[in-house]
Amino acid sequence: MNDHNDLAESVDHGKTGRPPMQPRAKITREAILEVSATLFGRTGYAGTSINDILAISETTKGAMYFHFSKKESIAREMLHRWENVVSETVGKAAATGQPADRQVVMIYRELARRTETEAITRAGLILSVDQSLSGAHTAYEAWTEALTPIVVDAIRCGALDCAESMSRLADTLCAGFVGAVQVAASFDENHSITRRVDDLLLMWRGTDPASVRMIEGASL
Amino acid sequence: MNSPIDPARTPESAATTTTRPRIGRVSGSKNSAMQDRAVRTREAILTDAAQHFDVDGYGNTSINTILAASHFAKGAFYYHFPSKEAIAQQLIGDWNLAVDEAINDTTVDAAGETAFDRLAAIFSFLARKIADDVTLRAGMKLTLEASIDNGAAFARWVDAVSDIVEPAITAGECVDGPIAHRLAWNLCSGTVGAVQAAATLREDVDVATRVQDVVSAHLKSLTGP
Repeated sequence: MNDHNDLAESVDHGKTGRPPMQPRAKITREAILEVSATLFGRTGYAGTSINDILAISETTKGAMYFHFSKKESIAREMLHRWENVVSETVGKAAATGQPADRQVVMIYRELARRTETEAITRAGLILSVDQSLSGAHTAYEAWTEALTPIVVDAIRCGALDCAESMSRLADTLCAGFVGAVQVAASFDENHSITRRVDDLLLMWRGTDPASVRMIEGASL
Repeated sequence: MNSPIDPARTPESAATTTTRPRIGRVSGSKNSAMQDRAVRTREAILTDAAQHFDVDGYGNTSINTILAASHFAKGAFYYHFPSKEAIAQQLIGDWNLAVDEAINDTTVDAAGETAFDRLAAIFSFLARKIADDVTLRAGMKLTLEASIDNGAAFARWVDAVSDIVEPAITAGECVDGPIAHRLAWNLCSGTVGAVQAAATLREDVDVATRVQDVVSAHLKSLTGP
């Protein structure tokens, strides 16, 4: 049997100890994650039990434990997905070769779009600020650290108006982002996430028409 | 056990008032006043519970974990609070009071100030309170806890802030537009996010600074050209 006590550094793949190979198994695994993400959004990670997840999913208990040996493993997989989404988005924005300030807007807008539409990504972001999940903060830190150099670049180009608290601008944006997502998720207003994040982006671009156009035009 | 999806209606959940509910003695009777010691115990229970809610989350905290790390008896606990949810509601009530206090305090000395100065003052007052007082920090987070009846405390907060923003828009103090009308929501959710970020990043930047960063950035975007 696997050692289920030390899962911090590796992804838990349940009984087999390796990722599911069959297409059917992958579908089941995704379905479990999807249902869990919906429930985490509704009742919170701590307020959701494995049995709650099983009650509304079509998965059997055996299948659940085949894929995830415990609830924490589901959360870890979600955090992992969130980290992947962040690095993927940052990579895509960097590949466009646009100026840094436009990249920042692109990244946040793309992340907003994905947290709005993908329940698993959204759950991963919310879990990254969950203090009860040990090690979750590294996912959040990785996010702010990935964005800091780009935001600093944008400020240095003089394209951004942000005199004070410049060093913390990336943190401030991430904080505003996670707050908006968390509140939207707990009131079941997920459709409003992209709009809220657009507001957030305007908060440091100012409201002049040129920057509004820029925010509306920048997408990946 | 109560299902987290469908919380049972307990008697105390019906009484989410801004004042503290009575704690066991009939009000108006000669014994209705709490003894000093009882007041201290009640505060200690609230503080200990808030610490657990703040760090581990409401759902991860049981009455037994609160009791294990504290110095009061189980009987004392149940004398003051019939359930975990009752504590949560008390903490949310305290948070509502803090919001009211922040708003009322700034009304008095806001003679020559603009509404936006007042908003900045309200949120920096709240930020300091959140930083210093674990019961308020926990109360704020509990307003988003879906598994309890929180009396729409978050919406209440947003509405209270809206009552300041809307006249400012009408008076032409800021650019009128959909973003201005969403300002109250954005300020409140930004505060929540900043508190989470400060706890997660564990750096030397404190909660109050992070909250002020978010709030002043939002306000500046609407006042600046």
